[in-house]
Amino acid sequence: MKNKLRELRAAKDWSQSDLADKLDVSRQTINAIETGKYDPSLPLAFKIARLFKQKIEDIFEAD
Amino acid sequence: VGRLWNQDFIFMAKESFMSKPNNPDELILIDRQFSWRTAWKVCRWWFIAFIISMLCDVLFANEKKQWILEWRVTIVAVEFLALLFFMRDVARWIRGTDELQRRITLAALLFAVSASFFFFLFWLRLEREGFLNAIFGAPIWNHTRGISSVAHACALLSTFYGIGYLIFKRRYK
Repeated sequence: MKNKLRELRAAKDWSQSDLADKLDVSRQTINAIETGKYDPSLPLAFKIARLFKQKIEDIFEAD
Repeated sequence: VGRLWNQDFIFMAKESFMSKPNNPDELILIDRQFSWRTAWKVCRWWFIAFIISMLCDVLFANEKKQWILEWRVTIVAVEFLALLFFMRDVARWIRGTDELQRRITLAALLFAVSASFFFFLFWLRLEREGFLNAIFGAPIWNHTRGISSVAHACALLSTFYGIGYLIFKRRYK
């Protein structure tokens, strides 16, 4: 699954640690999602969408 | 203004009370993030079970045979009670990890249990066939009674957990 998390984070000028703190996850999880090695659970995907005020499908896209 | 102040207050309260998810790297002895404090918090009952078993089942295995039955049963009960408390602490700690770390930790635990079981069966078969006695000599293995003690099981499980954790962590690096 592709995602735009890195671009969205960069636009807000947040580091991976900043984003991890806001989502209550570890920095490794953010890194794994950004590099496409891990697909987040539905609750975490909703949390990300809510944080960036976007729809889930605008952030995550199936391959 | 009141609503805004409330929102700020809630945000600040949330920020100040928000705790970071538990970090499994703190439990891996060879990792630079290893923390004795976390290891003690999660594994204290494991240490206690290990030390009791090491003393009673391995070092004083021959002397233990002379002890009264009630005393020996109490030792076994204490060992397994400590392991139960350890399992409770591990379950609580896993609940505090985030979803990726939880996935890695559970996969590593499953690997540790299966690998230890496989190793135990393999070792038992080798022992039964007399291979280990031929290689290492009978007195050692009669004295320690193979790998049947809690101390051996703890050592095996933690070694395989470490290996499993490092393997599964690499997949998401």
